[in-house]
Amino acid sequence: MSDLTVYGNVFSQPTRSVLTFCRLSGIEHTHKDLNFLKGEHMSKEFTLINPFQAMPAIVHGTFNLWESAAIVSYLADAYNVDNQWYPKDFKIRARINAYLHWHHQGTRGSIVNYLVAKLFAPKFGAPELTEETEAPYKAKLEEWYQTFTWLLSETHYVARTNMPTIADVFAYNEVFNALPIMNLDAHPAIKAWFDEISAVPIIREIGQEAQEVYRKFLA
Amino acid sequence: MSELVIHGNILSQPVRSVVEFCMLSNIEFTHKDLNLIKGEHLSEEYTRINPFQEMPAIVHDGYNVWESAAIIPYLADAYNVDNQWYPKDIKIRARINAYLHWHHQGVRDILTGYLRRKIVGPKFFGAPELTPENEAPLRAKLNEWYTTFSWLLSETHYVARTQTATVADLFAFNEISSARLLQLDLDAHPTIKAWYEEIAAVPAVQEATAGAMEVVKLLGGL
Repeated sequence: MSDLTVYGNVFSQPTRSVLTFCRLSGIEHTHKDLNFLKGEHMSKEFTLINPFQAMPAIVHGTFNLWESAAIVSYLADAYNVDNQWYPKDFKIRARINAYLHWHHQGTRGSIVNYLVAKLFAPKFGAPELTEETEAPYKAKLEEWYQTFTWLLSETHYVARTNMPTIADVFAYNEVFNALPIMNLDAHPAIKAWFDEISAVPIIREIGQEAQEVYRKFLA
Repeated sequence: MSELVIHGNILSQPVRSVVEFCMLSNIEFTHKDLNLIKGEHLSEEYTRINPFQEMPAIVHDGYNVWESAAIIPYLADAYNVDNQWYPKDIKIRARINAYLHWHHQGVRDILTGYLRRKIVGPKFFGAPELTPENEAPLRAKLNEWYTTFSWLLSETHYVARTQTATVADLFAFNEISSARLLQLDLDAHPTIKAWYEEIAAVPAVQEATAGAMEVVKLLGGL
């Protein structure tokens, strides 16, 4: 019986990042699924765990925590993690943390709004995107391809580290969900990075779980 | 002897947060100013320090770090800090970090985004003035923000839901103090006002904020 419970749906990019970190670091945990469509994230019980009613959140012993990037850092300290994904070296951590802060607007912000507007909102009654309404989203994504290629140019990893870290996993998960609206073939540096992260066995496995959820949702 | 240089202009909210944290943690540093209007952040030299060409950035014994919220844990670890602002207790740090991640979209985007479009852009960077039509959604978002921020403070009176003020409160305070130029109506929001006045009274915060006000005066007021 694990002391640690991770709440969230495997389809949620930041939830997947936390689950991936646990698996990559050998951290035993229970995964409690949250059905977003059924509003389980707004239940009284879950609100006590995460007052922001967002996923992921964890309960470790009696301590509850939200915000995926804060969760990773906390678990690394709580479980004495020292691996390539989040090493104890605080110089490398500074690079990883710098990426994770930039990530909100730098990666997630440039991608998820477009994804939602194009594929998800219409399923819930919002109007389909027209060429005109889609244009600003497309422009932002084009800009992101340039910025992200530049980001990767120094060391080939997003946090400008010498090996993949959890920062790459966070970025990867956003791109993974957005593949239906992306064209990675036109951006070889990004594609090479994406393929490399995809090949990590645990990441591939959890990606397949997410694909199942995606398939059911889009069906 | 450790050598720490903080690069950035005191008018920048995240620069103030890093400077205040160092003062409150007795971390000695040299402050190297960066004049944004003169484009000093775009120089070859500074780009080597922060490839994103933003402020703040630090150089500590030859090692460069950017992103204010990443600089704080780095300095806390490098200087063995254990105070109320960023204690060693990993549970309290987790609450602080959770706030700092939310802060980008929860506070800074809304307040500083509005401030840039309303005042800084038109006044210093030749951006078009805001029309009432363009301003309306920004104002609406600000009004929503008052409610969210009051809710945030409602649990423990501090933004990271901690028992004492922490560096998270400094980050939030610095955005709000700069945004007062937007005629923020704190009187109508007593929870926020009480918290604001408490943080404003911290000596390091007074000093850094006074420094920012000096720059505002030199710029001919905003």
